[in-house]
Amino acid sequence: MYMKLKDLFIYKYTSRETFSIENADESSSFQVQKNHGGPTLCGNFKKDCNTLCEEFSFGKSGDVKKREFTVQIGEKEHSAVLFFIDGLVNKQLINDFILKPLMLKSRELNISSFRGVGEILLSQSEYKETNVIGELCFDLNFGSAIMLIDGAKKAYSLDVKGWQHRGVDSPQTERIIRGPNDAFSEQLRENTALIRHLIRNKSLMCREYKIGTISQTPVSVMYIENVANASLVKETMRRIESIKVDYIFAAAELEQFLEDKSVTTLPQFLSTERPDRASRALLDGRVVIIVDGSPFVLILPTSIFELNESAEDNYLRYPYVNMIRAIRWIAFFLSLLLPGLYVAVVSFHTELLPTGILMSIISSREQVPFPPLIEIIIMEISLEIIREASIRVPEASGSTLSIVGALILGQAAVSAGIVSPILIIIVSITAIGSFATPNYYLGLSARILRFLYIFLGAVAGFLGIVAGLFVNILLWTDTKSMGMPMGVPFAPITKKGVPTALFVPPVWKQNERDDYVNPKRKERQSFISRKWRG
Amino acid sequence: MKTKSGSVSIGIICSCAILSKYLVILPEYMVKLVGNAAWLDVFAKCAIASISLLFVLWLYKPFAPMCLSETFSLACGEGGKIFFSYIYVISLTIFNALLLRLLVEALGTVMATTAPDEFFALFILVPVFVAAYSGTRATINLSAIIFPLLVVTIITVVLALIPHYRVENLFPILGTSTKNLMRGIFVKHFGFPETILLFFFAPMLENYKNIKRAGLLTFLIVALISVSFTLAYCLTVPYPASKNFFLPFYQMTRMIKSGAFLQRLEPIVVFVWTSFVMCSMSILISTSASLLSGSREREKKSAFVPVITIITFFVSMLPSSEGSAFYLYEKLLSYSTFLFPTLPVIILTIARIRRKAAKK
Repeated sequence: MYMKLKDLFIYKYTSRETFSIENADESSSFQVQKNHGGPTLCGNFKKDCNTLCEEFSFGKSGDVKKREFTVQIGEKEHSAVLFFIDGLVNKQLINDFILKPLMLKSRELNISSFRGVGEILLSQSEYKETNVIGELCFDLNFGSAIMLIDGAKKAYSLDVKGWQHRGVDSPQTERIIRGPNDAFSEQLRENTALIRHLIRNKSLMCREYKIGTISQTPVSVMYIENVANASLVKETMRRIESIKVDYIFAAAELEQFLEDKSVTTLPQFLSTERPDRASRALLDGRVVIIVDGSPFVLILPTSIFELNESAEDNYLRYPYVNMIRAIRWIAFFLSLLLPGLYVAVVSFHTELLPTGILMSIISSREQVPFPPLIEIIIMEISLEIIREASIRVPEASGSTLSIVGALILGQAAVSAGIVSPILIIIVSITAIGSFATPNYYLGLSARILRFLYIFLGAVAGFLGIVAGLFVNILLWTDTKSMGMPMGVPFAPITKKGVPTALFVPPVWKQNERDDYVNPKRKERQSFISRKWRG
Repeated sequence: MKTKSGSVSIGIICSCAILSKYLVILPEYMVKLVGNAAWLDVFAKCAIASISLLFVLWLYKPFAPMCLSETFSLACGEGGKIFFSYIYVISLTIFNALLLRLLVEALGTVMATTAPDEFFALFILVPVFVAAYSGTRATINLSAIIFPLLVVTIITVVLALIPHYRVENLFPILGTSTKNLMRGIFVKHFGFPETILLFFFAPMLENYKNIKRAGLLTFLIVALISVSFTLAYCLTVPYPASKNFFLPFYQMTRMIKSGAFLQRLEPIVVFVWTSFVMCSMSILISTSASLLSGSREREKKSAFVPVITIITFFVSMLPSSEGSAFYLYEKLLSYSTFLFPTLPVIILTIARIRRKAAKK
């Protein structure tokens, strides 16, 4: 009886769904993840052709194409078949560098053995011979053409990738005034190349993984072997290897599988779309994770203080960086605490304000029928709605929305006596402050916690805010990023990190890498980096 | 990643624990004892406490970096370990509870609300519980962030009060009498019982050198802050008014004229101080839980944290008024030298003798 009632309310997989999932697990694609083991081709052309047709779902999937032709090897004509997925491959490459040489040139050049097919006829920069079916399936789905020739011991996997994609563009979320303007794209290989273009060193390692038993999403872990801490690299790989999931499409998803603590609003990795920032992180001893299909890469480990740094900090002279960083922190705390402080001051600590200002606030609130808590919650929720709507609306309507939202609604609310004018100022400063936070997740974190501080401020004034901050800072400093406490270099205190975090020195004085990452190579540059000064 | 606690972090947390009570009552308490010479008295006490710390450290050297509770069992066996651990747990909890009560009363006054003491006590204890439950390392990290805020606040207050300083308030320089001053320094000990935390955190510091460094840093911080603050208090408030100056830190902040916009800064300052006291309370609860779990040989200390927090709450509500809480706190402080250095000296001496005997 209990089981039946439970079934009414609790969703369960139907047998069909379970079946399909299980099938996927047992399929060849699952085997690919296990070091490309699993069933192989038998060597009989017809049988192998049928096997591949079945494995590639030829006939069932409309985009899987098959081309049959003959190749002359020695005096004998050999049947051959080529499989590829329409849309994933460059057909020009197939015509010019596979079909033409094999169908025409094989007769002209009079190739005597199968060795000649790879060595003379196929001019692909990348091709491999294999008879592991799982590997062939993966390659086919990743833009390769699979060729089978009667009599050949192995099948050919020919790299002819050529799908449509966005090229290298300028960054959308990390715009800067000085410095490069390249951004990562959705292509994994393009992204690794962008990094390699900046770090031309043999120690730059790129370890490849495939995550997702069904999606087989390629993931690259990059690090510099003689700089990055070996235990950090090992831990990253251990975590990635242990992920068991059907599919993954973005770095943001992978981030959640890798993070140390889920019960926190704080992001535990830095995500960037700038190759220069990722390269700099690699050179500082960090690890970078790139997920195919995601224009954002993950930098790990990171600290709270790095989350509020911008890519531009590296391209500005030190006096500007120090000033801008201080302003960013002020903006962050304003966006986090200002509404809560307003409620606390108006409700409990009015003595803090001079009589003139206090009278002005009281008179502006005279017409407002709500207590400060309700008044500010109405405004904050309205602001969040406008902000969320502005992301979704078409670009052309964006400015109209902001005018309607910010100007007309605000003005109308004040005129109608729903909110006080001072509150409009408070909410505006809060919103502007949150836009000044460079890390999107950190900004979101402030947006969520702001409501908590409003509530605490209304319940117990400054005491409530202090209690909230106490727990908040505790949870933040207790959070770890790949095992590294996120409060570094202040909590725990590190010897050399504190001065640099408080005051950024000129570039020529930044002699050492961050000590809290514990890199293999501590020195970044020579102690006297400007030898021209003598 | 390797994240051991450094001597600076431990020094800061021990200073937090010692200074938290200081900011609630100390200058007033010291002035009652010796008059205008309170700052001299505090300086002398810090010096004596530092010497006693060095002596305890010397006794402790062969056992470093063992937790002090382990030396209890070396000296007096498992029974002794349980007994002495309980003594420390009880005394730290009572200190904590009375400090909580004094803080609650102070907040009630500052906020001028009709909310009951229990409301404030719960509001303080919830974050304290979360911090203690998160563990010692989390609290140490937290204090590393909060402590600089307090230092900046104290420096700001001390500097902002300069226009109110009257040098004549310091005279007579030896206070009410030389006899009283000597009695204050050598007989009426104002103890630093929280110094004992250093020896409970010793395993985190890994070696004797770091423990010694953390201890000396603790007393350097405590001496600098307490002497400068008492001196500022003596310079600002004339004797005998300074004998009955409720919440000295709060009152001194009230004297600051900070311009037309922020005409009274004291609520901000008081809440920086509150967060600091919360830090100290959570580390004391966390240490008490560690001692209990160590004595009962339980791996998880977090189970003891709720129990100690609840007991702290109820004990804090026992005194009938703020006056009685203050009186009890003063009395406890008078006997606090028993917790440090007397008891550790006795235990470590016995442990050393037994160790030598075992070697022979």
